[in-house]
Amino acid sequence: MEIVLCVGSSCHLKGSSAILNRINALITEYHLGGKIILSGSFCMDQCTKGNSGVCIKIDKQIFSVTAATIDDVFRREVVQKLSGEDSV
Amino acid sequence: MQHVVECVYKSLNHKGEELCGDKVEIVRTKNSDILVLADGLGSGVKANILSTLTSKIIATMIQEGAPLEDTVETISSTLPLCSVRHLAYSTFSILEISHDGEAHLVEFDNPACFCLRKGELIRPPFVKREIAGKEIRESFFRVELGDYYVLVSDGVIYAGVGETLNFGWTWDHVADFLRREAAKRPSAHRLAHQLSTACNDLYMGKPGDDTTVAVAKVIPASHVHLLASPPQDKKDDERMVQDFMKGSDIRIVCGGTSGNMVARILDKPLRASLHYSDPSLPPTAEIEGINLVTEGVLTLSKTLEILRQCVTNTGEVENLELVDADNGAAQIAKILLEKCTHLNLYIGQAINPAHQNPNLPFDLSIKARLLEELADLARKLGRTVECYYY
Repeated sequence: MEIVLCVGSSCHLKGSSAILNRINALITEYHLGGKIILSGSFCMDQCTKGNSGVCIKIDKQIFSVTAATIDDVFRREVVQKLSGEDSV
Repeated sequence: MQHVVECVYKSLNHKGEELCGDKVEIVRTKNSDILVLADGLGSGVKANILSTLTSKIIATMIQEGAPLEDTVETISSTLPLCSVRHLAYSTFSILEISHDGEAHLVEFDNPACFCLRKGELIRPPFVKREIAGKEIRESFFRVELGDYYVLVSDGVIYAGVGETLNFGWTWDHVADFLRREAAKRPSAHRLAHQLSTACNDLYMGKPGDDTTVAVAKVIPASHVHLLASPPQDKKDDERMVQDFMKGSDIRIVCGGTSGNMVARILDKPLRASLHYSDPSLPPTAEIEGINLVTEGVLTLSKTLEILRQCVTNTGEVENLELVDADNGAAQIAKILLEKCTHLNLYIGQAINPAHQNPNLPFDLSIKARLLEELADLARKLGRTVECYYY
């Protein structure tokens, strides 16, 4: 599974660095190190949509996350989907 | 020979003094680059006045084409007398390198200039002349690409005297040190910094004399191309990137949207790193064929902050640790400081709607102004700057 985190100017100011640390912690917590490719991007053209969060792309789907929502988004979009794949 | 003479210097003040008794003047004229180092008698205010007058008078007169005799006579007859020693005295060295590679070196009572070519010390022949009662050493020679010319005040060759070394560092040992360092092909900034740091260490951080190093390095022209912001009209994207890719040497892309545009037109992937070496700055990215890809406004602001500190005194080397830091802003500053003689700025005038967001804790809509200041600072560093707008 591929996760792309935006580190452009706007997202940086909205806290990319903290989100990155949180994602890395979550990956460790759920032992997903081998299943996720985490990479960076400079802007995914979402800035003007009025989102207050940092832009991340999980399996081609774009989300806007904040320090308060990243855990939920990660569990729903990454952990659950990966465990769903495993059980198939 | 297409060459540029990079001239920089670094002074250490006599311990306890706010002013330096040595003074360096760097003058660029239509036909030549002139480096003058003067060392005033004593230390503190008096020495500072003597050396400032000496270096300023020399630089101004030579620049205007006055003959050496008149220049030296002018200094002899205009310097104020020291009330303690009844002397009007400042040593000086003058190195003038013309744009076609002819050097003229004039020295009065300063340690002899260290001339380094291909990692070896060379000793250009000199003649002694007397002008206005002063014995002057004068040499004429041709410079070559890669040459270093190091002028020093006597604080350098006496570094550590009576403290770490009985007789100070001595000319020969300084020459050895410079030969070793020059073999690593450092920039003029780096060599001046190394030598001055070594002196400071020998003085154990408390120089017993004003200590000044001035370095002239003969380097080939090195063009740095920096692209920032996409064009106002999307139709011009391709033309802008083509212009940007045309020149040789070093290429920098500043800005996320710009990075994506360059990657799209070159049809190469952009890989943004997630390595936050400095959490206050966004990470850098990579595009094949581009030397450096960084985020835009935040990085540039930081680069300017670094460069501003580097050009407080024209040509004086500041804390090189600032440009050695592991982040995009320092990397840009380092290239401009150590690897650039000509800076070409490709400036797109598109307005980034995302940057007009008043809820962000930083005003991102200031890129145009940042680039203007960047051009300004680069000119102050002696770079030839061209701006192209799209």
